[in-house]
Amino acid sequence: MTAATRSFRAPSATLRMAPGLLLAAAVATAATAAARGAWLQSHGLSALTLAIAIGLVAGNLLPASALAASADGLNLAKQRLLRAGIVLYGLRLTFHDIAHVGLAGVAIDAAVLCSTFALACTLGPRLLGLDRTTAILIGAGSSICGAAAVLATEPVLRGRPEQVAVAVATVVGFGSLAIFLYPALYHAIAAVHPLSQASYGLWAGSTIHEVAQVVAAGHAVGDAAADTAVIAKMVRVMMLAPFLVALSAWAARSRPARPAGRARPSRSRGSRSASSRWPVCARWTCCPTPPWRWPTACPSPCWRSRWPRWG
Amino acid sequence: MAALGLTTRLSAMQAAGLAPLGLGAALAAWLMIGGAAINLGVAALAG
Repeated sequence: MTAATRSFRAPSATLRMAPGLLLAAAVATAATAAARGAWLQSHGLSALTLAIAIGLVAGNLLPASALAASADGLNLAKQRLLRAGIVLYGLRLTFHDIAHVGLAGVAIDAAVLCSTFALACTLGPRLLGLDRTTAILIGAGSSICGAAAVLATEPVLRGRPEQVAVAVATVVGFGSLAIFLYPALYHAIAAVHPLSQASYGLWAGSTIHEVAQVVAAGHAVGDAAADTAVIAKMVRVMMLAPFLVALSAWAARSRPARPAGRARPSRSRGSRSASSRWPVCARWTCCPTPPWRWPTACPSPCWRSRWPRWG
Repeated sequence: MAALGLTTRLSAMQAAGLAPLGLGAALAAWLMIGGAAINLGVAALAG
């Protein structure tokens, strides 16, 4: 990928982009067409999820030579084009919509977002031994809006494709479970205690991962539930922008907190779990190599070159 | 999104192990149960 980044060059740059852009466009078109299917819609599988799934299969089945030829275009698509798409995604909600769920809905969304993200940041690295980037990506995806939030958070952290894919897969997986669990719980609760569709919608919208999954879980109960759920969800989606601003500020502040030279040597545990229990520093977030191998395996400009925007 | 999938190696995803799934499960459980508690709490406060 670094080779691909280096090869952004005129004058044949457009030609070099073409194969990758066409490949990405073909996969995206297939995903968009497939997402219109009734079965996939009822299961809350959006075009976004299908695109990454089809891309994963194609990317791991296509011969290496074909992928090498399309590296430049894919790089452009997964960076600039993807980010442009995320920006447009956040601009769909009007204040009229927000008024529908009221101040209580906004407060619920904010509380759910903050508590879930805080849980991800403490539970992931400390108890489960996850690297902080993956934990933050999964936290963002779970607490805000699924795959789109993971993708929007990735540039702030400079995550690797596999970290993003793992986070997307995890978030989409559990969000899909919610499509079946929430309506079942609604019917179970409604049988013993009155529960309005609007209350259910607010609960589903403020806690289910993806927009498409919220739509599916809402419609499984009724139209009124779906309406409230979608608006509660869109308010949560709108919180993505302030969330990213706060995360960027946090990352900028925490970056010089622990210079790479202060990293402690490892004890003789399994490499992934031992290394990821370490206090995370900026360099660790971007360097795929365990800390005890940094002097030889991690190129020294790695951490400096990957954090220019906060300097 | 398609481009992201196309450039992701499955072996690299497997290397992540079960920890991401554990975190995803814990967060999903919190969203469902803790989220319900937040909904009830705010609804009670708002009257």
